[in-house]
Amino acid sequence: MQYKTNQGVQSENKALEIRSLSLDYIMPDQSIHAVVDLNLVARTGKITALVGESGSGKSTVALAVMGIQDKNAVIPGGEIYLAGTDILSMPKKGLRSYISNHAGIIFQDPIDSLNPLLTVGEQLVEAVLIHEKITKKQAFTIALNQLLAVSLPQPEELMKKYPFMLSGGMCQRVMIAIASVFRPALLIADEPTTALDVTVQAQILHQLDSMRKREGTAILLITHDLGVVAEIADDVCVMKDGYIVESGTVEDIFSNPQHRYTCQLLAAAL
Amino acid sequence: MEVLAETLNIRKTYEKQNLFTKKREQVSAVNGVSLKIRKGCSVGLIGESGSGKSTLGRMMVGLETPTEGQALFRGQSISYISLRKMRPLRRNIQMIFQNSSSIFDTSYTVGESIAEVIKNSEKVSKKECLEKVETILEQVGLDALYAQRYPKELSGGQRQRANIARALVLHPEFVVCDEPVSSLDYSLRKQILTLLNDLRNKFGLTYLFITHDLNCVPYVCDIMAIMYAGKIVEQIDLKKNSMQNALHPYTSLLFSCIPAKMPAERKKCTMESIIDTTVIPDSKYCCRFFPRCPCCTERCTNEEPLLKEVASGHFVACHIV
Repeated sequence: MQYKTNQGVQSENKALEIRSLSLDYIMPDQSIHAVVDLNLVARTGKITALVGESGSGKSTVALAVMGIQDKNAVIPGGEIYLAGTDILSMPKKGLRSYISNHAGIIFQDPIDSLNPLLTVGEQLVEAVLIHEKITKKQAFTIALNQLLAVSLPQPEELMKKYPFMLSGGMCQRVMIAIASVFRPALLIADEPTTALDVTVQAQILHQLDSMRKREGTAILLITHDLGVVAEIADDVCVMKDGYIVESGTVEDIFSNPQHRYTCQLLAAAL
Repeated sequence: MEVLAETLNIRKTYEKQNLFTKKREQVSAVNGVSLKIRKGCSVGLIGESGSGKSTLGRMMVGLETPTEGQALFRGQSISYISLRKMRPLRRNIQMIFQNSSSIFDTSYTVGESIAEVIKNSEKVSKKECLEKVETILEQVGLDALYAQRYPKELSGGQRQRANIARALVLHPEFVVCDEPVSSLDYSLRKQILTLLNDLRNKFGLTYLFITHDLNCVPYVCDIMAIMYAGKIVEQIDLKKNSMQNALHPYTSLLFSCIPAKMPAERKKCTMESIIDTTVIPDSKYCCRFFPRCPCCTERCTNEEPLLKEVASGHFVACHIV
């Protein structure tokens, strides 16, 4: 069966293309328009930053791309092309494995995103085994290499440890290792450094940067910190109240902001 | 100017017991800090998480009892005194806590929570109390109507303002701000820092400003103290010296980690020294930073560096400086 694709329109380097996506949250007494007519492209090997204050709907976009939006979320219209195929027009069956093969996500709070009852190794091996039919031993080797790739020291020791024994920065790097285990075309980083120290933030950003250079992963970086954006992003989309008010390359946005809201954000920088 | 708050070689060691082996372990959070804060001065305490900066702040307001040494307020020790003796001092020493969403009682309105602070230290009529609450709310930039709201009805920035109002309602002399902006949205940070500055000028406050974000420092601080593994490794008087003159390798590391302000200013971070952040040597007779230090020498591994003055108002604890 053929699903809707965005082939033909220079789709080669678009890991993610969102076309006029709208998303409403249905409440008992009202419905909230969280995302309105949103267009966004994340290109292979580039870091696209989605910037906005809390409540602007940027995390909702991330959840919709991963197909894990809340139960009361309704998508009245739009298309989300993930690696060339519209995931909104795909049937429920097979959708989850399609998304997990093409996209990974890391969240704001790294310690809470890992299972506290399983060791780091068990969780990594589990992630490998979901994607590939191989023996546990082979999976273990892949997992070990994965930890080395995010430059964690002494990976063998680390595999036996539980998340609470690690620092926040190490947990976040384990999360990156898990999310990128199957070389996804797209990695969504939802405020990956907000809960972390400046030194650890620098490490994580360095990690994301080297990953997109090494693997050519497209990274959708969701953040409210313009410092992070200035440091590593290539393209920027500024979001306010569900709308994208301005988008462009990072140089354009920082040196020549057009929208009033973007100017306000830049003026609020420390 | 007179010294308002002070610590004398203060130490705090936490003891934790392993659940299964019952073996006791000592974790030293603050390891001999002497800090003087003069009246009207604002001291920024900067360090990574786990460096003991919050513990030091809590000892300076008397919320935590030190294992050794003491914290003084106006020359009087506040470390080992009873709660009854602490109460009259409490109105002069307040703290702005980090997480504004958990410090308010959810079943009290914001006004009631702030009124509680007033009732604790002075006898006032209901009307006077209400007036005080409304005045302070207006002073922190909130409408007096917010007194009747519940904490969950306020946004993050408003709640942080209410949090500041709660700490300042008694017009304390000394305020410890524990990461007041790190849980806030980027766009709100500057607002709150400006507010803290305005209030400081208005009420003549003295701040101990705890943060891990070096970007905040030039906005609110007169003196910057860098803390690493329970010790102050560098202290700079920003009125006499520029922040950029910092000499300690750890301070340089912190500076190199600040994200660029503009895309054109991107720089390469020295990654080697950042990796493996958790290693802190046990020995008392070495520099605690040496495993991460890019310019570590033999001397650093067997002798502890002490704070020495390298320029007027600039102290560094490092052998190679």
